[in-house]
Amino acid sequence: MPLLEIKNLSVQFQTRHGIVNAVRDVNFSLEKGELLGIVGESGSGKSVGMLAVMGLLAGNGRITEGEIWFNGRNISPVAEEFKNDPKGYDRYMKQIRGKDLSMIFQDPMTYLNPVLKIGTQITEGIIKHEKCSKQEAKKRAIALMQQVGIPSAEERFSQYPFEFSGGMRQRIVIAIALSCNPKLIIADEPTTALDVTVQAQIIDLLKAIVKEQDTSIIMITHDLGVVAKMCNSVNIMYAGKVVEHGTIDDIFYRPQHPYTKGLLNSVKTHDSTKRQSLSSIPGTPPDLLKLNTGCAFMPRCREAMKICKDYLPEAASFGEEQYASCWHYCKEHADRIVSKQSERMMSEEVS
Amino acid sequence: MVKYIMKRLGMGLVTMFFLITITFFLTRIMPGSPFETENITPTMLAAMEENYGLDKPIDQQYLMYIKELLHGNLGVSYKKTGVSVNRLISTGFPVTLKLGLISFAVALVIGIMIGIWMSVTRKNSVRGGLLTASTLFISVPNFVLAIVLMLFFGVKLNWLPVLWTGSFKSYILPVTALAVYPIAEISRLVHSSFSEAINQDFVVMANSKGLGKARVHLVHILKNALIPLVTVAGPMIAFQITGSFVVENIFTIPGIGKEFVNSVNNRDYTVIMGLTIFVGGIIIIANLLSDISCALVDPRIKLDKSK
Repeated sequence: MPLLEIKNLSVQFQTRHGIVNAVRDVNFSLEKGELLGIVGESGSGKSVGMLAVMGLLAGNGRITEGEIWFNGRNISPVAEEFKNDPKGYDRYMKQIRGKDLSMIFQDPMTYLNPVLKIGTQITEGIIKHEKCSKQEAKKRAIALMQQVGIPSAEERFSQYPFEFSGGMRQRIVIAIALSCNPKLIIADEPTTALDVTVQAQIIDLLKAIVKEQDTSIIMITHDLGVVAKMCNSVNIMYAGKVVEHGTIDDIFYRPQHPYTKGLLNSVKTHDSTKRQSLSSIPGTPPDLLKLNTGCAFMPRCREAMKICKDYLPEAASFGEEQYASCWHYCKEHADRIVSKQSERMMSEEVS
Repeated sequence: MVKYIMKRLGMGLVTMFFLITITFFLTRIMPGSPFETENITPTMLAAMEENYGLDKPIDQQYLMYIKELLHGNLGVSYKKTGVSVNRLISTGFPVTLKLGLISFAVALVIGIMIGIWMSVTRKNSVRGGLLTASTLFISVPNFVLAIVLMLFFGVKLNWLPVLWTGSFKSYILPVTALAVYPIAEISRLVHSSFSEAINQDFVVMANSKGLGKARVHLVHILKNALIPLVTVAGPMIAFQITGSFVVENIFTIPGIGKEFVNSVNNRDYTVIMGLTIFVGGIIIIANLLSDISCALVDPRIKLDKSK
């Protein structure tokens, strides 16, 4: 049984300009000890999807449908068990959040509370979940701080966030996420706000943690270099959908989806000897308020066909793990897919 | 820290010097003399003024006053024969202080609670109603409120005493009259800072640890939301103590406020001076205390740059 299995997850935001479908029908699963990277540009739904799993969506966001199986239980607020019991959902999430399921945030400058001591911020989760005394929590917190590489941890314990550098604060954020030995850590761009040398240290640290503690990590990033260095497998997201999934080797050596190919083409390689301009994907990220009914990448795709505009492609598999959603690979089933989708659109219009 | 406090106190002394000098000369510019009443003869007036040294040139009077002041002597009242200003303050101030502190404490507790309520409620009607009420009560002067309360609870319903007796019951109306303005002010302040803090990233982080709602709201958010409140708390306490003058008069409370109003009406120079100096001192100290407590709430503020 996978540790985390997400089925048909959709997330919606109510905004002044209309409804934004930030995550659209996402499916994937994660085994124990796996390191999954989720890659996509800003607004592709990678962070929102994971915040939805944590139950930490902003007030105007909600999960419209989908199942989130974590550790053998469906923790989606629209699950049978919680559908009519939002308080029960809240209570259960408070039990597992920080304990089995924790999150490392992007910006260590704003995610630590400026007026609380570092020690307090690390120990409060431990005290809540492990029901231990303050002294014991302090001992564990200091051990954690040493584990993530903070020198003179004992002294640092009673300091405030503003007395720490960016890299040190990110280590604290990681220490907090680790504090109760979680089964799954969701790392939301943990290295984006840091400079390159600190980035490398943080990545090594996360890898060491996975090895030592048998934890799984979902790594949200837009940096393919980070993914290549850390992960076993990758989800490529575009406009709220997973367009391609595969192992590291699949994605880097045998990319199938035109968007994945475009992404890889825009990375500068070391072995290019002649001077050449960086290639990029033409166009801009899509406006989620004005999506076509078909493939969202179509307007920027070099290989787009007529059918791409109005109908969604289905996922086609390549090998054991890899799959990609592109009309180039499901052309043969076009008739079936098109009729299925038109039927659904008709019925939606009627209702 | 000690160095900082000493420096601030030194600056306070300079402020006091200007306050004393300006008030001294302003009171002398006021037309008339303390002893001028309808049925006084010019010879008697001259005798009285000579008795209190008011016939001397003004610069000499000023130097004499400063000299006495440095010995801690605020002089004697011209109107209340034989009563020294020091005694006037030492009997009246405890009453004023008690009234001011009680009303401030009440305002602090209720204001913070209403402020949090306004920020966390999902009902727009509740928030709107509270905001409108707070705007209304900020605009109502406390002496108007005092009279309305007196009329309604004291005269019409006859629940509470109208005049001061010193009992617990007689505190209720003046404390209410004094607390309403700061309640409105504090709740608006807490509302705006709390609503801002509630959307900060560290709240998401606190929630991701699975902490309870009470801890997230009262420890993580409230501590951040209180910083702006602490900055205004000092001047507010000073205002609570000094602003009770008119209310004291209305409820005939024997505090220094009543003496202050009387002294100005009677041109009782020494009492005006003494009370001005005393109130000035309170304001300076309250501001200093508020800056110190700011540093206690927000660790990023360092009072002492050298440290």
